[in-house]
Amino acid sequence: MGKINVTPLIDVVMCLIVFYLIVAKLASDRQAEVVLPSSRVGEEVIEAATLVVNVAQAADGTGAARIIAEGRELSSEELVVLLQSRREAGRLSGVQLRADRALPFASVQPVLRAAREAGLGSVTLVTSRQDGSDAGGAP
Amino acid sequence: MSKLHGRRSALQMYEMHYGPNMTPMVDVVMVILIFFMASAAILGPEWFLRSTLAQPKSEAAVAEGEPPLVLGLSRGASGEVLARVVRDGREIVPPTSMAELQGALAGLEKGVGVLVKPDADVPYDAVVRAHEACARVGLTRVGVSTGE
Repeated sequence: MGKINVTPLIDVVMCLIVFYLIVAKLASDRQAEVVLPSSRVGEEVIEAATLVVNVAQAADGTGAARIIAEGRELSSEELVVLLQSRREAGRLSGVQLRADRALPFASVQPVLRAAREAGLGSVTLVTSRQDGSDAGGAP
Repeated sequence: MSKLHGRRSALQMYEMHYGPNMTPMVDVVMVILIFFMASAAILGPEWFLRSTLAQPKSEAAVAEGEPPLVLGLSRGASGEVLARVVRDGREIVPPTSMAELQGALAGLEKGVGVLVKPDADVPYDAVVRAHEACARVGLTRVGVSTGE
């Protein structure tokens, strides 16, 4: 009697906390400025426990590539260690490769090699959806 | 009126007159709606193309036993990307522009493994377009060379 009901306040605050936690995770995965290649085919759903690896152009315009995963820049050797440790811990089932469309293949190859060295049999190439796309035609 | 209802809480009075309280359900549905709208805006429209990683000793692993088609990508004289398909060292699709690749692949048998083998200077965009061309003609087992 006469007390303030704090239940709606807790509801709203909890929703905001969960929302910001998820957005922060997504934002760290997509921190790098990457212009994805476009495609008309692909899958919409991917498995859980994938690590997002961004390969972006260096900001200095030299054409060099930066490998970014879990919100920090890594060398290809560090990426192998990260992938192996997550795989041994059972927290890695795949890699999502978000590479800039203008980069030469030689810049992307170290990520593919790292995934293979970590024991993965495949990677998922992330593309932007083009108009007139078909679902389910992915390799 | 007060004698009829006795000492009841406001919630009991509400339920007595107006049926079930819809407010919590509306709250939850609104939160879910906003959450999915926000996540759709953040994630953006993306496709995922699955690509097999070629193994170091045998790049034929993509096709498990049968010799794969090797889809080589290289730069032409004027800088454009050209694709050619080779099986067992024999060229079965001559150098073709990326725009015509899908048509060139259409005659190949479905279900065969394809290994995309780009040169180092080929743009990553061309690798994805080669994957896309394979998928569109029904070649679903596509791998990418790791360069060893």
